[in-house]
Amino acid sequence: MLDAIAHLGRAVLNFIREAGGLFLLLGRILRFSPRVFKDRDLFFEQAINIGYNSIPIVIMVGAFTGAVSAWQTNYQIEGYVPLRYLGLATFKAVVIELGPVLTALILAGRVGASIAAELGTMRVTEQIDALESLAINSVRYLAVPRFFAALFMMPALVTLADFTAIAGAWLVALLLLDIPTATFFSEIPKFFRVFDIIAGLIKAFVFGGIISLVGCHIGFRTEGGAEGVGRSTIRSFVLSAVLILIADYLLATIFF
Amino acid sequence: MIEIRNLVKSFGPQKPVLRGVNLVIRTGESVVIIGRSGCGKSVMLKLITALMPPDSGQVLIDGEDLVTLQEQDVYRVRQKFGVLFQSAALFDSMTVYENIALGLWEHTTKSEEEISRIVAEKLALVDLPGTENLKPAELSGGMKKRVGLARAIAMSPEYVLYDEPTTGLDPINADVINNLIIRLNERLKVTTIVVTHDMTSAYKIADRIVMLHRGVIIFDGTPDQVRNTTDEVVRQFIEGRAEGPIKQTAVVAANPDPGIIRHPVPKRVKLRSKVMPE
Repeated sequence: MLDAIAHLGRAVLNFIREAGGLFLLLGRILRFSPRVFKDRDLFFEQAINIGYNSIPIVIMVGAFTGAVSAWQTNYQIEGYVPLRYLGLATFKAVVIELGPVLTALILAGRVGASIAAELGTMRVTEQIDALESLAINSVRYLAVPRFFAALFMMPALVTLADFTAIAGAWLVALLLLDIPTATFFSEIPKFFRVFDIIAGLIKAFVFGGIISLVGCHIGFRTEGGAEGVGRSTIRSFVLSAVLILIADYLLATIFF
Repeated sequence: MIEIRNLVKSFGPQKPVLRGVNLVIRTGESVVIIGRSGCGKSVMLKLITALMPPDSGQVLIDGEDLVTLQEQDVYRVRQKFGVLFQSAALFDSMTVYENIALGLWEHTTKSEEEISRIVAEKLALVDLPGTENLKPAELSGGMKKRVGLARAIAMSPEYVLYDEPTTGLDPINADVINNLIIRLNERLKVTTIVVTHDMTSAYKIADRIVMLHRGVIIFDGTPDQVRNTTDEVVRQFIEGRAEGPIKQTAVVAANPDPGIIRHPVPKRVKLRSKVMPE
């Protein structure tokens, strides 16, 4: 019993320490935010790495998300709801929820874990100490460009995922479910709300911040050589994924 | 001048590393800090450059206490330092040129032409001319150290700190680094602090040798005084003898292995001991 209480206590303390560390890092990043303009080369380098290089995986995620959404929505509504609503149902599901969340979860693995591994390797090989010894603030030089690049690239990537998802859903409807294009898109304009798109993009913005912040935080705190870098990579993905799902719930309760 | 007063650092209550170190390093001096692996030599370098905060004590750099300075002032004072790390710690993603130029890009308004001239000059100083476009992965261990040294002196620092500069190098490459350190001292007139357990290197480089043992300085003298000392602890270390007053436990006490100290008894063993009497 005492062991269980001690274990719980340690878990709570760890959580508080982790959360405190995240907020402290966020504060330091925001303090250096005006430097993004001066360090725009670093920002663009990260924007290409996080945004441009993620395009293939985002297209894959989007296309299959849309395809499976259309197929399963058809299965669920067939016989109860007219099939002309299939396009609308898929559109809403993709824009509000599936696009931002699935893209964020995939990028937590591709981008967040890669940031944690890169900074973690720099930490254990003393490269971060070397940077600091050159009187260069490591948060300003390493974390700020990554944070803002992820923050601004995520909405763009989610928009791309939304488009490809809808295209994937349309192709499945047209080729496999025999729903004509005009029917598939017929109900979307009637129920279209700009706010749905905005809400999805705000989610993407928040998720981008979570992914990069967690990656940087865990990367900076890496210790224990190659094994430590491996642990950081996993921890970064798990913590990002959990925080993305919690943030998704909180934002859903605020927006809808 | 660097003045260290009552410096204390521990990693948790079980792991005291420095227990009150006092040391003065005068401008232009070449001081070598020796001691066993894990005795806190590298930690001391990190405390001197404020890469790590001490538990208590003062680190005065030309009269300014790094421990109490504001963050921006710490970065200002750090520009007086050049550090060569044990593993060279070159930035993997950058070329040799970018590694050396980084400090100049960040802290000066020099033109790219001028920076390029400085990089070439520093590379020539470490006997690696024409290697600007190579990546760290293409360099041998000795070359990495020399590029690390070129990076450390790129900003013309007042103090150059070396963390185990000859560790991991063959004797010839180690001597190349020793000669480089001496040459840089003479040409650049810098204050040098070298942390090492390589006595050949220590005798060659040092104006003064300081020995760190069990978290305090137990010896401070010239290389000749070290050679002729009757202190048993220092003698055992410089002669590299396993027998003597320094026991393995001394290092464990100063820097205990967490795996040994804190490893819990496996639960299965506990359960079995409860079950066995029945």
